[in-house]
Amino acid sequence: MRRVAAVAEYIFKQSFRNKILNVLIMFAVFGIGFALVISELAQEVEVKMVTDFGLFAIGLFGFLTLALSITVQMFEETELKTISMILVKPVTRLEYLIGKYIGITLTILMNVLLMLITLMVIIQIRGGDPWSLKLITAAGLIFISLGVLTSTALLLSVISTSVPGALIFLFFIYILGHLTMHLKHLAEAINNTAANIVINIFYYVLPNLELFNLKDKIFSPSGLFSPRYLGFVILYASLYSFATLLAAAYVFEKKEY
Amino acid sequence: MIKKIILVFIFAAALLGSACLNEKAGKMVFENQPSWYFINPDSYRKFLHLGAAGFGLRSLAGDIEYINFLQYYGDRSQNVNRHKDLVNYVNDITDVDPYFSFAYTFGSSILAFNLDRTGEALQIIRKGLEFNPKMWQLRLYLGAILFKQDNKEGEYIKLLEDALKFEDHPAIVERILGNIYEQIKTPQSAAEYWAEIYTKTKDKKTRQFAYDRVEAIIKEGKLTNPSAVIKIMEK
Repeated sequence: MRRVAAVAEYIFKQSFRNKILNVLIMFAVFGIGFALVISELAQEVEVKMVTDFGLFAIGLFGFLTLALSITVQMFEETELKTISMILVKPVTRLEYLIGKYIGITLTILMNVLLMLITLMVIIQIRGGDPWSLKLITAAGLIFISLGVLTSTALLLSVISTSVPGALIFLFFIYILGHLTMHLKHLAEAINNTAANIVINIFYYVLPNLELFNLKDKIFSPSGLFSPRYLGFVILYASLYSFATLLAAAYVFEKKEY
Repeated sequence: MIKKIILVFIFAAALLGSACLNEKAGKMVFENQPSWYFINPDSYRKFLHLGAAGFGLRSLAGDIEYINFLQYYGDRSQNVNRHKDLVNYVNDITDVDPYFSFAYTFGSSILAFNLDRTGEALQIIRKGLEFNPKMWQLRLYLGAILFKQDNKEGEYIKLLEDALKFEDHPAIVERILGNIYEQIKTPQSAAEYWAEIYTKTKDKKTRQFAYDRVEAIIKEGKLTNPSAVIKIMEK
């Protein structure tokens, strides 16, 4: 456990040592701050505008932080061969992988928290309720979805041999992960067996990122903020991340550097 | 070998478990969200709407369309044709985000009471009621627009006054009522109304507008009790 914590700490610190990531985090905070400017254009619905834009920015910049962290880690491991130095130490590959997952997730958490605090300050300035449970739940689910994506990204990083390859797949999964629910809805309407089978495979194998999307339901009479639904989603995220990390650990164990 | 089998078994169990939970949670989404929430033929009208529907950004896309609508309504060059496309702009907002209730009340108020196009205003309010049947405030606006259509001034003024009592009314209703009061009430009552609006409105532009109207009425010199108006403004 201590070794896992040590790897996580190393990955977390390594992320913050990276200038591009620091610039990205600063940009993310400014990006949220930009909501204050944009809301000036949205006469009388300023709080709605700030909330919608802020949550969108948290999701986007959170994903970019993940993509950048994975890129940095993969580049250092494969190009600078740092992985060889780590693996000769008394750290098993599984411990390294779990530590890496925790480290990247902590980096994302830090980023999401910074952006959420900025957003809450702006909402307060605009006269809204910064402690709205719906807002905090929506932001929390964005973070959980990024946690699921991190485990998928780690699986891709151990399968793929090149950094661009892993990144391209990650982007595809991000897009498809949001669309599978719509595709399933469409497929049921068109009533085509072959299309239904293909879409169902995508629906159950890829992470269903739409489940974590409550950001456009804050101002609607949606019943998805129920503890029952949130329980299902959190459990789904845990099981899916566990399965992908298990697969990643298996491939990583066999991989030769 | 045994270790491998156990690993495969655990992996399959986790994947199966996640698939079951995906099914359960997904079912709740399908049951909770109306069919328009998912990508549908309406989403293809605009690329922004398609992207917004696909990535769960309907609310944000609605805000962007709302800004477009405000820009169009604020464009003085469109005064010549009396903002003939305004209803399309409101439809753009409500197509991508049918729950954007403010767009229905704001858009229909402008169309009915500022541009005198009650037919289009009714079309918007009816669309609002179709998507938000539980939003009873819309029925208030529906009544006011129907009375306006029949030129029953007293009736629609009463309904607009009722609308004003609710927090979520658009500031345009405050201005519409103020303009009507200036025509039908005494300058003293109109000035007192504007002074009240000056202290209560949430909209910066309406506050400035109310201030300007009070100033203009005072300059006309028709007030019977100017100090009462100033007292309200100092509240």
